[in-house]
Amino acid sequence: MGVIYDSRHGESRSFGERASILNLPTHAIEGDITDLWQTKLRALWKQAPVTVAGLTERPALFLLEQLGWDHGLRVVYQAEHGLNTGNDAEHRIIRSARPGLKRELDAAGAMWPHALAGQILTDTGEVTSNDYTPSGTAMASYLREPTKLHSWIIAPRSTA
Amino acid sequence: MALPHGVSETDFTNALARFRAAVGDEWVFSSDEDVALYRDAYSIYWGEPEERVASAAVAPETVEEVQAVVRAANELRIPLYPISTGRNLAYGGSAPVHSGSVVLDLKRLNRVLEIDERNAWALVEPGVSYFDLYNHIQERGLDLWIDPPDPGWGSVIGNALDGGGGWTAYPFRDHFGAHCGMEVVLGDGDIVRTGMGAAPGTKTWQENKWGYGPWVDGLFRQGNMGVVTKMGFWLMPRPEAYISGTARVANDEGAVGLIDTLNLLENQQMVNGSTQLNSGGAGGFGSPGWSLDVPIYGPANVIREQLAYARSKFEQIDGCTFTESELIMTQGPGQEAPPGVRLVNFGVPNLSTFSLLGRSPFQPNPAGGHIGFSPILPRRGEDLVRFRDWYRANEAEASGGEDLGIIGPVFMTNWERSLVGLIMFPVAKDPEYNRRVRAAFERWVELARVEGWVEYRAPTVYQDLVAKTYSYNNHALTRMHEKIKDAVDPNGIIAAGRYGVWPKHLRDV
Repeated sequence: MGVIYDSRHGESRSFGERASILNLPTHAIEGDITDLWQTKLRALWKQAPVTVAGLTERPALFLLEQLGWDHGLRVVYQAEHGLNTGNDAEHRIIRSARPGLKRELDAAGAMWPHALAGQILTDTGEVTSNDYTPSGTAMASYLREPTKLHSWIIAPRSTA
Repeated sequence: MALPHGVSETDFTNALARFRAAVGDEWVFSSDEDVALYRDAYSIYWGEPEERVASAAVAPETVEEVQAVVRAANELRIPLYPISTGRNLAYGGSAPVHSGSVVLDLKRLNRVLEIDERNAWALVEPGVSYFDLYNHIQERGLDLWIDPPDPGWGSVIGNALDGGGGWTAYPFRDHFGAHCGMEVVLGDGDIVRTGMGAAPGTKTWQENKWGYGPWVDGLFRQGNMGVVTKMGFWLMPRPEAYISGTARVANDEGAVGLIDTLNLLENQQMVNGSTQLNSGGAGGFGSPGWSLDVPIYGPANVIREQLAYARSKFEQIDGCTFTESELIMTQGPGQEAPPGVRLVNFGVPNLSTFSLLGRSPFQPNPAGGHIGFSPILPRRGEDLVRFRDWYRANEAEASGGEDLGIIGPVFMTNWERSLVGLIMFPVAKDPEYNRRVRAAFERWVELARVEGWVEYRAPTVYQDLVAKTYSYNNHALTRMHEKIKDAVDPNGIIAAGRYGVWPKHLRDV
């Protein structure tokens, strides 16, 4: 599994750091996924439908989900994180098989990106759902909302 | 699942079986969750009965497989809707015009078949994206540019066939205009090659557009006479350098000279880049007047002189000021584009446009998706001002007195000889909001038609509406299209309804 984070957001950087500690390969973006697509994912997904996870703004998910469809990949986990002026965030779980995830993120307070990484990157199988329909993001909006981040997992449908 | 109109469940099941036999089980998609991937994310009828949806999808890998699918569909009267990579967002995405069609997804025909660096052309299949073609050229160190649109994940063929354009030099940025020769699978499975491709043994299929006899390629632009499986494109030899200047006028009177001068310079081929016209003169956006960026590609010493000539012409306009940008030397194959440039102007495909769009002072509550209304206008300053004033005068009435978040007009000067006055309509997932946006869109189409301004491209749900505005002599052009459709695709299985051309059996449905 590879992990994508948006280096413009401290929360996303924390998520990426945690992924590195978990020995997962990471790739930083600054909103735009062109370099990620051109230098890594395009070739990677051409060889095999590798799982990727991320904590990014909405446009990155919008694009990666649709690009993933062509390789048999689907969004199998998604949550939205409204960034408040303090250090905590408002979490909305959109697609997940793990019932207690919101409670765990709420309990983590400002450390929620670490908690999130711990939950979705280590127990991927537990968090992913069997809902393979297009996500609301892919079917709704490419527009960025800098005060919201999305965590997501894009995985092969057959093994998710 | 929405079965195609007039097709029995038995025939549909048989067709899917024939498709599976042709392309393999894993490349026929009929489950709800798979077919949902072919919905139009920006449908103005999202979730309503009128939303255009597919019944299934089939993804062949070779031309022979395309033929097999088309033959089976023709025998069983199954409507097919060909797509290339399905990225035609704002114009219908990958959803069919005629609900119940089986999407013929050509993404697996993704080969760059040939590139000739010496005479600058490429022959590609429909699944080749701008990224694919760019990477192919870079990996081989060829000194050629492509012309990507914004964004660059779509199909080279798909964009050309839908009437799309890009941002480098003319004629390359007119994507259909820059094509040379095509291969088409007709509704009975027969294969046609156009232009020089019709003569076996020629080496000039991608070097001479016209061949011999009537030229038929235009039937496949925004058309539904067949499935295009190969297309040649003329590419741009990498220009040595790029330079740009900006002409500014302080008022609407200056717009007349500004546009006349632009026309002169383009028609003289002194300015070849994709010019950009903005409302606002020396004081920037919102100030009175207009500004026009005029980019030029070519050898450094030549384009410096061309820009000096352009400057001399613009400065003949009363009150016009002209500023020049630094000349930029372009980079050879395998090297990065110069820093700070807009990549599409340098032939580099990217997706950055998606990460830039969001809330703005002009759009505080964006809906997410959009569709565009893009009427063609005469390329004259008087018409520019007239369209803007007409838009302002009708804005409130067309929107029913509400602020629907409609953006306009944006004037596009990237097509030579004519202007486009673009109005952007937000699309949401709220049926009531979409209903009001639809009413406004339809009102603008009618208001513009009365003025002689009609569209060059339209989202699938409005292709009939716009086709009706081309009504000279009791819709003679549409009637001719229909006669050709009936002759070339008598069972009407290819892309029924695309750009307002319906097969006989669906015309009155």
